Amino acid sequence: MTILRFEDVWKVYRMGKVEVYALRGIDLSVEEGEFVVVLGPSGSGKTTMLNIAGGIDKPTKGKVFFRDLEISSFDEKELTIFRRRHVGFVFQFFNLIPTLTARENVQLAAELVENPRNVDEVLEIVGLRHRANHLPTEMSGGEQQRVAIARALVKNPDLILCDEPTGNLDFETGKRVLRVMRDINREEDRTFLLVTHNAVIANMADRVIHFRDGRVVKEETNPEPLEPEELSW
Amino acid sequence: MRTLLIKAIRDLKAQKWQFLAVSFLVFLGVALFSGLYSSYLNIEATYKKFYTQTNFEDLGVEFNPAPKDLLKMVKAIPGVKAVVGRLTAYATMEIEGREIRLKLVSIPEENSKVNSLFIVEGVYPKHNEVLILKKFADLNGISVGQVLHVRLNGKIYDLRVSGSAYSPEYILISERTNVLASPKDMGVLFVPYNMMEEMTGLKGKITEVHVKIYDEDRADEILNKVKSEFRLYGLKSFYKREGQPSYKLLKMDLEGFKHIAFMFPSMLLLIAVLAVYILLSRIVIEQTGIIAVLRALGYSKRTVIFHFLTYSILIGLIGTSLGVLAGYYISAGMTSSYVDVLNVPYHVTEIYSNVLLASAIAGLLAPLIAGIFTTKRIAEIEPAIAMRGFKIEYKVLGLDRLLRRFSILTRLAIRNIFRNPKRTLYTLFGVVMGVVLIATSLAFVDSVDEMLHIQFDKVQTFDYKVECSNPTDIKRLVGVEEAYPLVETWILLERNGIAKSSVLIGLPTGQDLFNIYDLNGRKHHPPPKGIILPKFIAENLSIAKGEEIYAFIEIGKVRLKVYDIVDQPLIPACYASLEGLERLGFRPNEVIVKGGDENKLKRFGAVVSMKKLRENIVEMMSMMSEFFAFSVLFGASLAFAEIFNTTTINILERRREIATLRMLGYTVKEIAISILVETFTIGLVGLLLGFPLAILTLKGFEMTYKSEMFNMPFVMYPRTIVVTVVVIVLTLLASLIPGIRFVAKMEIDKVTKEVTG
Repeated sequence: MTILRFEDVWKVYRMGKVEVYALRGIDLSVEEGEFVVVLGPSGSGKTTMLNIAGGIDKPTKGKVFFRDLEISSFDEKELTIFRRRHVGFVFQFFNLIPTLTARENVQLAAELVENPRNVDEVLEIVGLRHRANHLPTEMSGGEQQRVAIARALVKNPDLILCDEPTGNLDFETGKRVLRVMRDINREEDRTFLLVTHNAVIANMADRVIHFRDGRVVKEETNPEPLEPEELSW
Repeated sequence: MRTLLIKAIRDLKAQKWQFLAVSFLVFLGVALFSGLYSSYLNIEATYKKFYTQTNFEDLGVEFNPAPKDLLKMVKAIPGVKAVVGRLTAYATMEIEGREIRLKLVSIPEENSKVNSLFIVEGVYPKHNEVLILKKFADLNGISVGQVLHVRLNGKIYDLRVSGSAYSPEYILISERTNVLASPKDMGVLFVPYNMMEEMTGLKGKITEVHVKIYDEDRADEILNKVKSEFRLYGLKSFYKREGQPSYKLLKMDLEGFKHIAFMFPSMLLLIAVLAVYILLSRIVIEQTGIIAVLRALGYSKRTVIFHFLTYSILIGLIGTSLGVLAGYYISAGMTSSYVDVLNVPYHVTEIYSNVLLASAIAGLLAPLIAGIFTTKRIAEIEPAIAMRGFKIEYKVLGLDRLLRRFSILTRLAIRNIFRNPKRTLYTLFGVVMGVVLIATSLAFVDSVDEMLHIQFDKVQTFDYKVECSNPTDIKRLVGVEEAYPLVETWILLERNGIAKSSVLIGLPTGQDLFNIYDLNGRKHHPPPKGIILPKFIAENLSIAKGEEIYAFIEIGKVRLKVYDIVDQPLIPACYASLEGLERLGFRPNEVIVKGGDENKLKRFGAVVSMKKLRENIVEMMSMMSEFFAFSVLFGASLAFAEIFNTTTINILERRREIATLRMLGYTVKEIAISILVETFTIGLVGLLLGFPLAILTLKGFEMTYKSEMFNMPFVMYPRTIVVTVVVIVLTLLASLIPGIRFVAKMEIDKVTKEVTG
């Protein structure tokens, strides 16, 4: 079943008198439980697509569906509720609240939904229960990113959107983070849409969508995705 | 949203000093408003209670001795509720070698129904007994039962003090001829009427009438009728309640107090609004990424905005709760010390719920308004920012050509001033306000010194004033350099139904002991013909130089030509030449003397030593030194709180670039100098703008306190400028210390990690 669908989606930014085309008629879909990697160089429009998918940006033209809901027609309030109920974000810069501990950062997201997952349980999933009372500044980059994953997971979202989740991590740490994501995807059948410019990561995806100049230039399915540990960059 | 609250509290903890600094501003604003305004209401209530309790007069008329029987005519005027007639005279008494001026006021057999005396000790006096004004008795150590040796018209009377009392007429001792009378050197004795008749030799006569009426709206009409009863005998002065000297000065002072009670705290709360705005703006800018994440997680705009408003609410709650509490103690202390120097038996201390409510609302609203200003910025933050990271952008003015000759660090310091113009303006505002507060407070001391200088070094340069008419014998005394006779009397000027009473001084020509000066320091000579009028009176009576005016003087009604109009400092008076007054029939009643021995002069009459008078005024003014010290401290702490706030915010905000500078090899000292250059540039501009504003404020005070009785010159001496500059510079330095210590202790590796992470 399709969880996310883009139909001829355009995004144009106006910068002074210049119009910048970030997306030029994107058509794509993501199925429930898939682990999809969007691959493309900087400025190819992949983050813009992710923002629109997550309801934190709106397309200039075209339609975006989450299951049967046309989120591209949502107003700001509806988009907020959509994000709250259905989407989990993982950012490149982790974006944890520095004054809150790991547990409190996760709790922050848990308080938004009616039936959140147990905070300690999700910290256990990302392997950080023992670090629950530590502040972000007391944690490594990899640990911070795993807290961010736990924060995304605790709301029980249907769709987890990750923007260059390993972009700020070293090779080994990056692989450990990807391992956590892949495990959650498989064990909980949770959908992941991950954007990156790192072509190696594409090897672990079920499906890869290639972006260039705001367009989807290629789509390919991995018949045998690699395990994160098998990746090398 | 418990976790958001935890975040808010942790944020507050992480920046506790900045939050405390802004909360302190709110605290000061609330404490001063509730404290000062409650004090104002307390003092007003105290006066009101005392005036009601003692049946304070609605109108009064002073005249040359007139038959006491005329009181029946006054009583019969429709609308008159009660009336008392008085016989008054001026006498002297010696206390510990000091010649004290006394006003003797007759009282009826029983406590009067107008201007009743509030007896605090002893009993109502019988023959040969007097009641003494309480404050005067206390200040001079006079106790009940003591016998006073009072000299009147060359004769000494032994009067036993039967008790001490307060009078609504003398809450503040103020005489038209002696506005600067200190409560220690000007006494009032209340003497039974028949005793006064004996002492003055004015049997069956009165010189004053004080009236209580039913309907205040009819005051003018009744006053005219009372005046007409005594016009025949020569009016000396008349007034409605608002014009009664003590009442008028108290009212003027209270109005000034009210303005200060409103202006100071309002200014502080305005500064608090700006301070909270600067702090919250910085937090919002720094937490833009966090805001975006919260929004991306699914927090609504409203929730995020409310979260940031909790900072304002917490600042407001801390500042307001402590401020209201402190306000109560300020009010109690202020009311007590204010009333303590006056002749009032008690003071009212109440808690005014409307003042508390208004200060609480103001204290809570001020930071909230600042918070609301920042919400626009919060609302504009798009959650997508979280994806791409965030950079703070500053405006940099094109000063390159100008700055080229400076070092890189100096250029950076000067550019920083223009980086955030709003913040720079706020800091500037803080420095300017600090300068105004400190400079005006110190200028009050300057003004008192200037006042003493004008009065004793320019206008009255003589050493003694002796109550006698002939200087011939005085001149023969050893040590006496000069002695001149003069006339000092009362005058009532009337034109178009408006009357102004003043002092008329007749000066001999060719002497330098008693001079006429204008506000610009220009000396004027006694007029060969006519009189010199004070500007305030001339303006009030709409009279111009060269015109003629009717005046009531001791010898009756005369027509006088206005020779000149002079804006006189301090105690404005009407001046004529001695010869001119002698032609009208006056005889000199005082002799001014340079040099000589006070004790030897005493045999010619009562002696007033100008040196002692000056010392008493200085002593009286020193009682206000605490207030000035408080104002200076207040101004300095205000400037400190603001500069500390912005400097630490600036440093925290720029910690990344400061860390980079340190990584590059710049020393803490070099960076500290750069911060000093930035802060001191703002400080210098603040000083340059602050002083003219302080002078304008002083001019405002000058206008407020100008009356026909008093014309206080407000000046600023160079010493005030120097002290203000030093205090501001020290404040700037002190407020920079925490920031510079932060730079010194900065863990460069951690801050660098923030840059990359």
